[in-house]
Amino acid sequence: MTAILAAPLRAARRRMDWPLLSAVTALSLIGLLLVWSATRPRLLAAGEDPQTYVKRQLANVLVGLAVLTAVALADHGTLRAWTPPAYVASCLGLAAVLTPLGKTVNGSRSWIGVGPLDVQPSELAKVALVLGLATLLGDRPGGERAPRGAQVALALAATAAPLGLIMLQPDLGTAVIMVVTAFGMLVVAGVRWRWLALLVAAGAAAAASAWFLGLLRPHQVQRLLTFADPMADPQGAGYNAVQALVTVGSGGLGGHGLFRGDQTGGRFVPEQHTDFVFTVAGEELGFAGAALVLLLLWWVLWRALGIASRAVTPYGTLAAAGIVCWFAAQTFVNVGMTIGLAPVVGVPLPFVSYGGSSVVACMAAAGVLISVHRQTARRL
Amino acid sequence: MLRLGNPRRRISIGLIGMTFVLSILAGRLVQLQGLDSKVYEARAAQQRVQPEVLPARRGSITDVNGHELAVTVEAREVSADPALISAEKRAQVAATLAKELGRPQEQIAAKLAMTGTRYQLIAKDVDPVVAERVLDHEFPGVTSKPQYRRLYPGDDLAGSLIGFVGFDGDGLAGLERKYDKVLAGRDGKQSIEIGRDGKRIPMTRDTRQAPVPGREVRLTIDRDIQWAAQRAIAQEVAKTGARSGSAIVMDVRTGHILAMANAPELNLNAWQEAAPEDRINRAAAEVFEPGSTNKVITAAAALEAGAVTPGTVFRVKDNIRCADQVLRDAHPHEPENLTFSGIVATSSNVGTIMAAQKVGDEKLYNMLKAFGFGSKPGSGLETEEAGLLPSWSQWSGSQSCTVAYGQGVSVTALQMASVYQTIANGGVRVAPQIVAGVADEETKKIVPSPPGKRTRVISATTAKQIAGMLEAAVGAEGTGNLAAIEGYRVAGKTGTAMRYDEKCQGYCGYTATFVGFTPADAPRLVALAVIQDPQKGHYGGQIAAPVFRDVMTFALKSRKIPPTGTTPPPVRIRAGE
Repeated sequence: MTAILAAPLRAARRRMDWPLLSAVTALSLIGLLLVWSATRPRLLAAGEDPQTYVKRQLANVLVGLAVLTAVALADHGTLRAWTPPAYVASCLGLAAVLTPLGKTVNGSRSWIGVGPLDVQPSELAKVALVLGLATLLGDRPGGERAPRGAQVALALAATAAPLGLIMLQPDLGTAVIMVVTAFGMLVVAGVRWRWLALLVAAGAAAAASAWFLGLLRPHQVQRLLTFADPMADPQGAGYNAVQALVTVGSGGLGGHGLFRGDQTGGRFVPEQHTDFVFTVAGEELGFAGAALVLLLLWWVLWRALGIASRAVTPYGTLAAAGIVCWFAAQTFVNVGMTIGLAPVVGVPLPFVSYGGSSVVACMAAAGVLISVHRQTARRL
Repeated sequence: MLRLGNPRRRISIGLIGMTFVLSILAGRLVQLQGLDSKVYEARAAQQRVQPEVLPARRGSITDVNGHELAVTVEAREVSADPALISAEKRAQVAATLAKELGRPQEQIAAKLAMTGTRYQLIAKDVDPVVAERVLDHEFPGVTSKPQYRRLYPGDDLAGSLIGFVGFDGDGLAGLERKYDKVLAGRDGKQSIEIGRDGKRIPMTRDTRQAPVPGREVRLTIDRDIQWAAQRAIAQEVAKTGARSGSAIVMDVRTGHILAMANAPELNLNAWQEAAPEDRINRAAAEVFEPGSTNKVITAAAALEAGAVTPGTVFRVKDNIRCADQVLRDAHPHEPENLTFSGIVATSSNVGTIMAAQKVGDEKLYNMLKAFGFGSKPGSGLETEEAGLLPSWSQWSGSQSCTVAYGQGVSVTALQMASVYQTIANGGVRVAPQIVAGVADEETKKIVPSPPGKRTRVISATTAKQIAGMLEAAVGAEGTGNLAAIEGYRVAGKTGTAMRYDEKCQGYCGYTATFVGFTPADAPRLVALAVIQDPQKGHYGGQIAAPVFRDVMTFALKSRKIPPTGTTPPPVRIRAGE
């Protein structure tokens, strides 16, 4: 039995993208430490187990790695086969969030309770969207260089469905990530520049009308205004931005040491284990640690781009490129909002932030990358 | 290989774009964490670090033997943060706190139920041992804060002399105020790091500068003699229905004040309840016209000037014209021949005026000044008064006569005690002293105060002659025979002065005094008793002399001063017709 399995496993091991997997694992481990440090003071003060969150995140990471392995070992056929159900399921999930099943946290109705777990369908929807668009745009029966108009229209419609549901939560951050991801995939798919320009114009018009017609919620408007001038109200709307900035800045080059950040210990930064986890790295590990996190993320993106460019099928290229856009946008927005380069919109830092849905979604995406990589390696 | 709208080129553009974006993030990090990190660190510290004062324990005030008269004890304040105590645990926490602190459980439970608040005071003045036991339960949200409390074990013992501290522990009156700097010590500092919720951040670095405890101030006061003096004067004030009274006991050789008692006396553990005038140390601060006790100064001036000898005989009537007034002796009598000693012993006003007229105003004034009238005694008490001594050139016609027997001039009890200390000490004044020493900051051992300033006021011979007259005053024919103490030779003088009263804008009532020293031939202790505005009886010899006797008797025993065993030489009071 073992002998029969040994050969394909060996082959699978050879075709793994070990550098990518190492980077993902390293980011997860750093994330565990940062989550630990960010949650420990509150748990200690409340007299609870200071490792409650780090244990849960460890479980998230382990589940995520299992998902990663499963997806990585699947071939394109299997992935494609699972794409429509995954897409439909995530849209249903996003719809369910809006029903009484949904839970509201920090003003966004983004969660549904599944047994003891809180699932955030918008995170999983990102994977589904990437695979869905890759399927739609990668279909080139005649070996065309670019997708046909119908395909593009279908792709836009497929994007609009989850996007609309997410805007209803409302979750501006995830919506932005999805728009960037979809647009990036259209670019890579070879859609004509003219069409792309038209899309950008339409998007800008939509954004402008949303702004001027007052379609944005007051707190969203406030956040965007705060980004322009965070010091205008440092105790109110600008609090998160200012505290994040102060916390990262006070870390200096070498940081205060893990568990020894006083800003973190004093819990000045809200949501520090989730969306603002980068501030823990900034304060406790300093520039060295923060730069290491960025470098590892860049490493993941670079590997992913390599996978995208080497992929032998349009599906593979588009899936990998979509994931690159997703990770890159999310990294920029997340890190950017902690250091005053982006408005505060709640998105997690890939692989690092606390949260089961986010970790599993990112791991699944990494699995997709490895799956594409393996497909390429098999052909060569 | 499929071509996808030239994907490779678009992907390499993507790589460049990504690298660019990441380098923007990195650049921003360099700016924040490299260039501006000091700014952010300072900002972070400013919102986090909360300086806290570590109060220094105030030094004790002790009596000459080290008994505590004022002491600071540590107490704790136990408080709770109701928001941190869960509803299920509330009843248990309340029950435990109620048991440990001995307070009603419902009351504590009610406080813990106020979950909208972050601070509820559960109990003040908690014994530190009890507070520690409460903390040992490790209930979240239950904390204790140290606080200091000033206690006065003797309640009103030397109350107005010691003084008191205010709510913030600063000395407000008496020695507590005068020696505030020494007693207070130096508060320490500690900066603790406070999180957003106002609670201490665990594992943060503290900067701590330990407080330097205050130093002990040791008085010359002897607790037992003080107590005896206080009781005696209080009893006499009560008995005579007087307004107030003071008693002083001094060591002749050192000027050390062994007791300084007032009645009514201030209960220091409830000083807020006392009337403002009862918070004053009357013995050092209340100014009055001394009356006949002042005659020793006239005698000193006359003897020093060579105008009289103790045996000089005067023909004394019971009245004498002085400028526009006729001044009288206390009791009417036929003209009689009195020696100068007799004049002092029987306290004749007329005789004293006759002697003073031989001396002249200027010399009398200088002698009064030399004995410390018109200047502060230098005891180290902040509230001590200098009295009123108008310059001789401004004396009215009758004033030059009345000053001789102690009217028209004002002193404090402490000043008058100092006069008799000078005579008892062979004419050398030693500045009265109330503080025996202050503890060294390091060794905690008492460093004695420098001895009081010594000034020769009159010659030893004059002092001895006056002592003889004063001993006669306590004798059978003197006015102060109630001051006699069996087995001891006592020298002293009565005083019964008309008392100036602001309320009636003139002389209403009396000031009764007795001041003297023992043993008369080798003086060790001076004692003074003064009673202001007595209603039942008013002669110094009648109401003040017994207080002197009681206090002095106790002090002699307490200090183990034996009688000298000598016999007083006969003093001629009267001369034949």
